[in-house]
Amino acid sequence: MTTPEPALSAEGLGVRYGSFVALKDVTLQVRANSVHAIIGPNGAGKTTLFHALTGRIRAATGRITLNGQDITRTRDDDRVRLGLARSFQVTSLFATLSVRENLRLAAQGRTPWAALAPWRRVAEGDASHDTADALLRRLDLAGVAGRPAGELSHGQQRRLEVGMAMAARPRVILLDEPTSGMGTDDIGAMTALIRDLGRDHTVLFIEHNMGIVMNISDTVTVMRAGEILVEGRPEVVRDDPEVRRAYLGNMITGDLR
Amino acid sequence: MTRLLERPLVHFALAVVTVLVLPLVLRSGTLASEILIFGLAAAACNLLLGYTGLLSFGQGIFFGLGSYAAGLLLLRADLPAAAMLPLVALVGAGTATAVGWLSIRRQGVYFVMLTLAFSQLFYFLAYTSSDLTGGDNGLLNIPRPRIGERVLGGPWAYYAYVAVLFLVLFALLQRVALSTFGRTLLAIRDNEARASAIGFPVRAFKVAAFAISGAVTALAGALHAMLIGVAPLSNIEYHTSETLLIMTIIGGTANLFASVLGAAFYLIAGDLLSAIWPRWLLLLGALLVAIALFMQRGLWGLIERAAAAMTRSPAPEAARPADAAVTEEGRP
Repeated sequence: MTTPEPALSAEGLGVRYGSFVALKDVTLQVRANSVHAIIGPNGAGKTTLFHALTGRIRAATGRITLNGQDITRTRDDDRVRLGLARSFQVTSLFATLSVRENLRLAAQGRTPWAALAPWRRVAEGDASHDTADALLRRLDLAGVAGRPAGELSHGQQRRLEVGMAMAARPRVILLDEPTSGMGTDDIGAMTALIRDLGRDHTVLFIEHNMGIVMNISDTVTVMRAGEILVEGRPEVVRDDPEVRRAYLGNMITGDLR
Repeated sequence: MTRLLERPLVHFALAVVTVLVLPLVLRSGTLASEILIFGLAAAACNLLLGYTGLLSFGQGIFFGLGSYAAGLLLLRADLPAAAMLPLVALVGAGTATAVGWLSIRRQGVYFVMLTLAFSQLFYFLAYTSSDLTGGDNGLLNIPRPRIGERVLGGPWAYYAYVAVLFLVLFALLQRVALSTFGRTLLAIRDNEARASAIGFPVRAFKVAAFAISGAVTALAGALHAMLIGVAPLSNIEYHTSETLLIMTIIGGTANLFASVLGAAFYLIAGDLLSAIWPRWLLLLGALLVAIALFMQRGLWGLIERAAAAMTRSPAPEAARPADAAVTEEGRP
């Protein structure tokens, strides 16, 4: 099998906040249609890496390519159009708008300039509505479609959070701790969803729950102090002595099957 | 009933009712025209404040420039009002685009400070270029528009003219608020970072909101200049921005008609109270404090509460405690 071009790759990525080096020379390749996990203790630079990859912050050094296209200097909203979407670690929704409207907006974000027309109504048969409705069913949110997003339960908000990233129909989807704060029941559904996404998307996700990471990832990258420590298949990473010494003792929750 | 109050068509109907009722309850056609004119400007202010989450102290710039542009186009270029108004809208949109484009580079307090700074800048610009604006005296002798051969000299004749434009522009603003554009503004208001993360070029949307708001505010300024026959320096003063914001906040930011309500309340209260007590603005200050503390949805919020109370307390014989519980649950 030949190695296809990575869906998303970073070369020598560096980010500084003032004098603090948050990311140091990170090189990462995410294979197309794979599920790729990023783990590491708090402060390892995982979320910063996401911010840099999605363009929320500008990297000081390095290069980012999406499906072979250089996007290092591309703005965050433009990257969505190129097929890169993300969810947030801290739920970030349009709290006063309905759940359906949240998803519709996220779907519309793919063609944002069309939305700039102040005379155009949102037609009921619009593609963005279809996307929103399909996601409502898939995420089991149809029952609360008309409720303001801010009134949902935590588990529902987390699902909507991931749904917002899916609504842009991205090719590469970045999920920042999708299960954070979830109850056990919800975690099962979310795990299944992420695995499912991996079939037709490229998924890069940050996760603290090792059960999920080891179960559904094709590749695991371990970060520490802004650098990549180890990368490989889940079982390789799990057995790596360096990882065990640096990391397993205190941080890993969940079982290592 | 509460659901009904969320319908845009109901808001437009209320605007029509306002236009029809004002001549019946007010003796002064000038006051009635002023209510519609400021109602329009407040609604435009609400597009920024309530829909986009932008507290702009620059609305007076667009209002004042609208007045001046109207005066200059009518007096110097000798244009009829029908040709002047579209040009005034362009002036308003253009200025608002420039002011907005520069101001939205910063957020929160710094954004507000920038709009305030522009407000002062334009005030002194108007003050110093007295050959154009008349400086302290204002731009005098601005004529009323004419329909055919007839000059709309009387207060109620001009009111009719203002009323038609008011309804057209109010409907247009509603159309904007309901469009994909308006709905995206709500998203930006709720969570700007997420709006950007799902792909919206947030700055372009904010600038466009400014342009639309500026165009409508400038038109209101033009109508005001023709109403009083002068484009006074006070129209471009910071005080006008403040008045428009106060009207918008008193009315409530939930919908565009609430702003008309706020303007009507402000002007009618001012008219009644100033006759009794010259320091009536003191009372207005107290009211603003009360609104900020206890009723952030403004006068419109009071109407909503009244409507909710009416639907919840049915006729005495049908009063059952279970009903109240159901209505509470069933609310969106």
